[in-house]
Amino acid sequence: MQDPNSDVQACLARADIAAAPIPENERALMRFVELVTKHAYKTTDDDVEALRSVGWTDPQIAEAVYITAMFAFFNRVADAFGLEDPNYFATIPGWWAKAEETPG
Amino acid sequence: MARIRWVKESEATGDAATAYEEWFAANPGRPEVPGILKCFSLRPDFFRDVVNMSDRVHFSEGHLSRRIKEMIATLVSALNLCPY
Repeated sequence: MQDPNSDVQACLARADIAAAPIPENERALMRFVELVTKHAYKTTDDDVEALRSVGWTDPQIAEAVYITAMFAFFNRVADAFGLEDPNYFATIPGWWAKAEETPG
Repeated sequence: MARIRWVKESEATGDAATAYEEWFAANPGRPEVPGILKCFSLRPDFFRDVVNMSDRVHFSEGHLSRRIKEMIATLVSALNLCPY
């Protein structure tokens, strides 16, 4: 059976938030991640309020920002260093390792 | 090897060697240190901070599920036009 999560990951790997088969609250969070990634300076109170209105708590919103920024950090370093391994961060144990690599 | 020469596991000495040994001890069965982490080997102290930072966000009981965290990771890298 096709793993639904891999459909989600496939869409997000193309940055296709609209097509990802996810609930609307998660889609709103992904839109926020896109905003913070592309032009964080454009973030407004309404953007955060929109997340609260679909159920995200401030701790969850804050953590989403941390992870978004952390990955921007890794992406910048990987690009500056010119990592050849296209899947470079999939090799980080446990965290974002490919699903099949992590047992259970 | 990346375009900025990091410290290879086999050539590591001093604190870089120690930092790598600590990483291998914490990650049994891994053949080598992932490239993204080796980028930080020029500053072994910072290497440890980066390892701890990524562990903390992942392994600590956070507010977001691992699934959401991985979705964010995938999306951010796609947006950054990072090979994925």
